[in-house]
Amino acid sequence: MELARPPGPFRAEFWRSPLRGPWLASFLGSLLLPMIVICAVTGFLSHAAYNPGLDGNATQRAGDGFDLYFFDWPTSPAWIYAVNQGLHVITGIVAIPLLFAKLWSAIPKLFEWPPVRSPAHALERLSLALLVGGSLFVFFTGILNVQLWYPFGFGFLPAHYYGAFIFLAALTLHVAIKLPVVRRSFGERGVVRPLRDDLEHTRPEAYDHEADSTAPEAPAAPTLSRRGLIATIGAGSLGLFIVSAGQAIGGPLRRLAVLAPRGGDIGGGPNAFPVNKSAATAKVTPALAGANWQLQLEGPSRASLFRFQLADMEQHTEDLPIACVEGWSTTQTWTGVRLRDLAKIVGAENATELVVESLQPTGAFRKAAFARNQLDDERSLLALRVNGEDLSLDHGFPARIIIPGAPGVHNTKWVSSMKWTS
Amino acid sequence: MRSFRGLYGAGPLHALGLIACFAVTGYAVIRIFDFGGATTVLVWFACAIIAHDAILFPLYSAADRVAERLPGATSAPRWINFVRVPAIVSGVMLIVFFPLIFEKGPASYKAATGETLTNQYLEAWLAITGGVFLVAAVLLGAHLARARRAGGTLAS
Repeated sequence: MELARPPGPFRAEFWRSPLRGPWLASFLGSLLLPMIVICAVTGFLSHAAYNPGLDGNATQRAGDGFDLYFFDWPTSPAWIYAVNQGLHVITGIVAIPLLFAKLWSAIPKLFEWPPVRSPAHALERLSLALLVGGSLFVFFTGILNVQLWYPFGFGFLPAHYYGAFIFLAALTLHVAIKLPVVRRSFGERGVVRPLRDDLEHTRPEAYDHEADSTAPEAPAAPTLSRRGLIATIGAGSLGLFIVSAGQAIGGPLRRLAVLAPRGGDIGGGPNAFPVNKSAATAKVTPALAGANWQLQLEGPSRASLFRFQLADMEQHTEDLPIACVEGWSTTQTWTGVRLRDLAKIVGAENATELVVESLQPTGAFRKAAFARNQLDDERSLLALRVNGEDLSLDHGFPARIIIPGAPGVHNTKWVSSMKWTS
Repeated sequence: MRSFRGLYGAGPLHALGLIACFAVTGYAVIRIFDFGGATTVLVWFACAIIAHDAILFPLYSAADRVAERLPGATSAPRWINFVRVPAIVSGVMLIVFFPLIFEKGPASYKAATGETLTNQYLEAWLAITGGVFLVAAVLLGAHLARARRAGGTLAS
């Protein structure tokens, strides 16, 4: 029995844009795909950067999930995590206009009639729901997270991480299924040749009822050339880049990042750089971090050190970034004691793992575990000072960890104890 | 007996690809279940599709169709693209950064950083919007003047 075709978007003549068609969808997809690949690779690398295999590090518990992370996150170059997260967040944000354009180019497919032609067609449409829902879900949970807005009733990390699995599986399938269409469109019209046409020479793609094409059956006269459309999308992406990328890239761009959570101006002074979590929020009081504070060291032997004793040890100064998973980063000049020198005090020179705990009584990331390469790096410090002055309480006074290349939250502040194990 | 293609509607490779895709999806859903909130995640998947396909897309296409019918929008010297481009530049900024612009997350921001938001995001977005439309207006002015001159030359 044939169902009657409903009116409106279910009729081919409803879709009049002369720019829609397989070539445009292929071209937009070819622009979007590399950005998604960058986002996905840097996303999975970010998870690896937390050394999820070490005790208590993984928010996605290691061992019982799909955690194929068999390498220790490197410490060189020191900016590796800043660049990784900068790329992840910037590409995720600037891809949005392209994502909307891609959805626009394909949307007549949503109103196909009949809605189901065969089991294959039904299942493919279901996978497209996962693709569209997954793309919007993964991009926008990330975008809300960098703005610290959590309206959803689920944990951001597992949802963003495993949501990406669904999105990428559906995307891989979609690319595989559409590859012949891409090859045919690029073969017939050239990859970039349609961009040479100005408005006067802009012609609609041929409508093909058999191929169930997104090209219009009854196209309107063009009001924008294809290159005009691509330039408009580019303008949208460039605008997003300008107002946000400075929080990761720094320099003069930081002042342009007027819509970035950690962009703009932050005042003056040696401790004037962004704070991820304040002492007040972490419930670390000046009393806890005061003169009675002692650092507990534990290895084969034990030791307790007051801050003045740490300050009497050999001091080293390193320029190292703190780089947040949310995409902002800032490089400062840190002064303190090498982790290697502290290990020697308790005879832990050959330890393979270090667990650092904070005075912070509860909460995520109050402790972090580090791998051997991070302990052995001579730039890894227990910092007492920044930019020539004592750390402020918000930046981790009396002492904080700073490890080259590590995610920002692993640079534990208000350190209370350090325990080396083999 | 009917062939596989006849029954299924595509080749076996298509079926295998879909099975793999749904297997990964099933795995991911189970993993999210372990952390709690899996149902909410699925609801948000659906809400994301509805928000785009049933709200955002109809809104912007309707706005574009209305604009196209205004006098002179699409006939030479056409002005519609001088509105489309700044509207898109400003619009995507609003869609991406609306939590900051409307201070949706300042409680979390304050909880995390102990500071209130120092940037004036709403003002910044309004200023950018004003700026891009102003630039477009200047360019449109030049475009119209050029068209008038060209028209004058033709007439004389």
